[in-house]
Amino acid sequence: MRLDPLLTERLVKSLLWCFTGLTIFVLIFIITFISVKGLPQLSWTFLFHDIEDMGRTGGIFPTLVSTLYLTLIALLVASPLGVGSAIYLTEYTLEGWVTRLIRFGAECLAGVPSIILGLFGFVLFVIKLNFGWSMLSGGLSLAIMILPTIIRTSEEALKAVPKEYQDVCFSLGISKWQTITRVVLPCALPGIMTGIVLSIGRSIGETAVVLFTAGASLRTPTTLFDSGRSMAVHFYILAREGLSMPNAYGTAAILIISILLINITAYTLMQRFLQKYR
Amino acid sequence: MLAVKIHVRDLTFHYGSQCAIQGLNLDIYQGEILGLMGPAKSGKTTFLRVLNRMCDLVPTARVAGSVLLDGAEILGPECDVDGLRRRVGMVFAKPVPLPRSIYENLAFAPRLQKKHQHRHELDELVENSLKAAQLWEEVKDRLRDSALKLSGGQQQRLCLARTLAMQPEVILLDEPTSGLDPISTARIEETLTELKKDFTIILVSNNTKQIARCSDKVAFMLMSRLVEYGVTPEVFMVPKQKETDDYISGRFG
Amino acid sequence: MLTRERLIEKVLLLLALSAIGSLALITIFIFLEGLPIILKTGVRHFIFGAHWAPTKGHFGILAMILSSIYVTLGALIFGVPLALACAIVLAEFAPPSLTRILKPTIELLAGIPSVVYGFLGVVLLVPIIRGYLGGPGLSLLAAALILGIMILPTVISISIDAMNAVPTLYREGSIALGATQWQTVRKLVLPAARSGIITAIILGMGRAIGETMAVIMVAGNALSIPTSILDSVRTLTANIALELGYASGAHREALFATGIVLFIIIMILNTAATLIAGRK
Ligand SMILES: Nc1ncnc2c1ncn2[C@@H]1O[C@H](COP(=O)(O)OP(=O)(O)OP(=O)(O)O)[C@@H](O)[C@H]1O
Ligand SMILES: [Mg+2]
Repeated sequence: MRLDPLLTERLVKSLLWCFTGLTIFVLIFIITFISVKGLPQLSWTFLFHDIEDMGRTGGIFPTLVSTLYLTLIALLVASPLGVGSAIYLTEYTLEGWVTRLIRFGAECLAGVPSIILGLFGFVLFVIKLNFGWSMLSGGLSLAIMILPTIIRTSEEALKAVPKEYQDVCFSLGISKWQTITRVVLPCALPGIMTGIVLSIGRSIGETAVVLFTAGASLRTPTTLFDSGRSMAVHFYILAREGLSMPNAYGTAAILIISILLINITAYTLMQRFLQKYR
Repeated sequence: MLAVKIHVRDLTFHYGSQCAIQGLNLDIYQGEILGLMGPAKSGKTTFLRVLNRMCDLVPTARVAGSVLLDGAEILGPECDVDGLRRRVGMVFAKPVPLPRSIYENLAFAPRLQKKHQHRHELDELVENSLKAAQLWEEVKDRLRDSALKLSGGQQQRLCLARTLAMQPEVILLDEPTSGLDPISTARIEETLTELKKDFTIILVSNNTKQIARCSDKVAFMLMSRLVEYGVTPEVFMVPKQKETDDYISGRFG
Repeated sequence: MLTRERLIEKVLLLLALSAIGSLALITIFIFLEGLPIILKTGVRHFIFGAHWAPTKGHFGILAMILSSIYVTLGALIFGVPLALACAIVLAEFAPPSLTRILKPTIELLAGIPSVVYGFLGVVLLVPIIRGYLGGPGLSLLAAALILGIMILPTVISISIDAMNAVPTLYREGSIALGATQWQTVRKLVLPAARSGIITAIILGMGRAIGETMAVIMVAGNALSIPTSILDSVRTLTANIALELGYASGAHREALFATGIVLFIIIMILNTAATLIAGRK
């Protein structure tokens, strides 16, 4: 038996719209739920006090510092590597097996699960290099995690810069490197920033990598070799051990809201960039 | 007798296996405008790009023969390519201002050369170049505005001024007026005639009338070869080759 | 001057090798740490052994492999239909102005950390499962549902891109011939976008099988081969994360060995995705 095509059309369409509605609802619900439960917990003491009684009371100040510390190290290491890779791929080589190998490496690295990165960071940085559970170990492991994102977005940004600019610069007797640093990179900067900002978001939310490389010390880290728990790790421990629901919600709210703001920034930057070059 | 500025001997150029210039011999004289004409894909742009080694940017390019600039070989590996490009400036068919201010477009390359350290030197250079390209009057009050806001004709004169600001010896122009209206075209032509006192100019154009108006010597290329070369009025009045005659009189095809 | 440019090029090449270099380092270290114990236990016993008691010298990870596979399949069963429906609606049916808002919204949500998903699973989903379906609540079902939601943004966004890559002209031709929109999508757009959609699903699968924190929180982590979707399960990732903190000696090596298995599965998936995506 064949259904009337118009009827099928209407049935299928309403079903698909329902599914879409459900998906969007679930995703919006997550944010609303966490915000509604978590925002009331936020206060000056919560943000700027030390963790007390394993997190049952007190604030989350050390976790803010650790998160910032880890993210900063990751960015300082991964940005030059990533942007440099992208420059090499777009400006210095022809498509060939070298570029294919490099791109394949980046793509595979992007797919490596964070627990494997955690294992790797643990054995290499924490144990073999004897950095211990520390900001340095954690930051380096996160750097490996965000490297592929930075490479990919930077590559796209560099490719979007009109080739004519380079022709003009070369015809003016400007060397390749000067052309890249003075003309191409400034034009691609918003696109490159998008990748970097997205990476900040990922570093802030990452748990598995950080837990096994930076540890979970309650103190505020000062040197590179201090251990410290990031916000995400702190939240994980609070939630898993059921130490304090209000504090867990509060931490989750800060996590989610900061990541959303960061991603919105990245998105806006990207839109601006695309508008300029399309 | 004028001095030979560029001396081209047996120049042959390939993109991969495709030939773009075949056994070209040509002398280009100091202080003259050489008009280079020919149908599409005859190798005109390629010839210009050989003269300032922009052809290096195409990975499959192969070049043979010899090009001497003031007696020195420029095709060899010992040639300082960036230096050569500063001596042999190029204006492209499509005007491409850099996404910076008018002033910065002109000052950009000279500043990187570090020859012009002082502010007032740069100011002077920018002003003189803009005047030489006949753009000064139109932009002198908005040097800090983005160059992208200029009209097409203004942008092309800006590109010319940008090349002049490098103080080159030779200027290569690749169909500089192909996208412009008659008035802008006339202004550029006027500028070129002014400039030839101080520079050696090669003007590529599809517009035979423009070549006839502006150039002192004319070269005609057809299918990668140089077919005819001579003093402009003579070539236009009594072409030696039938192809040239056909091309000039628009009977080509 | 020339040598400076050459030097810069060499330095950039070195930087460009950082990604593939890191990948190589990861592979080397994980294998160096984990391979000996696999060889000692025997590949067969390690992979098909059902008994995991690392302190007593039993290293069989079959239960975890199966759990990982079940949880991932479950996630695909929940996630893929939703994601495809969403992608079809946003790419084909919804007015462009709506898509312009919804697509980035969905992509933004890819940034929600996995611990948050896990937490929500614990406070919202697990009590419902326990209350209505029985069992401990922390279960294969809970993990599959949470992972199904987590892979939505990935699958949706790549599928939309794949469908958008199908030329509009085809669509107009089909509509002009009197086909309905759904017929056009089913007969024309979906087949044309197939390789992109498969890539999306494989990448979603990779995300699901590699996910750790959310799964630890909702799956219950019991060490046995699951017999029902309400059973508590422990995946490969969860096993590593749960025990790495205190493991030492052979036990720790066995965790790296678990990592090797996971790593190989992921590499196979990634290579498949790259091959399929590149085959257009
Ligand atoms: N980058 C390139 N790679 C490969 N072949 C090229 C390249 N640039 C030009 N060619 C080929 O070389 C030949 C000469 O091209 P060229 O651009 O020099 O011609 P032209 O006389 O400037 O033509 P037009 O009047 O269209 O500008 C053409 O057949 C062209 O297809
Ligand atoms: Mg040309």
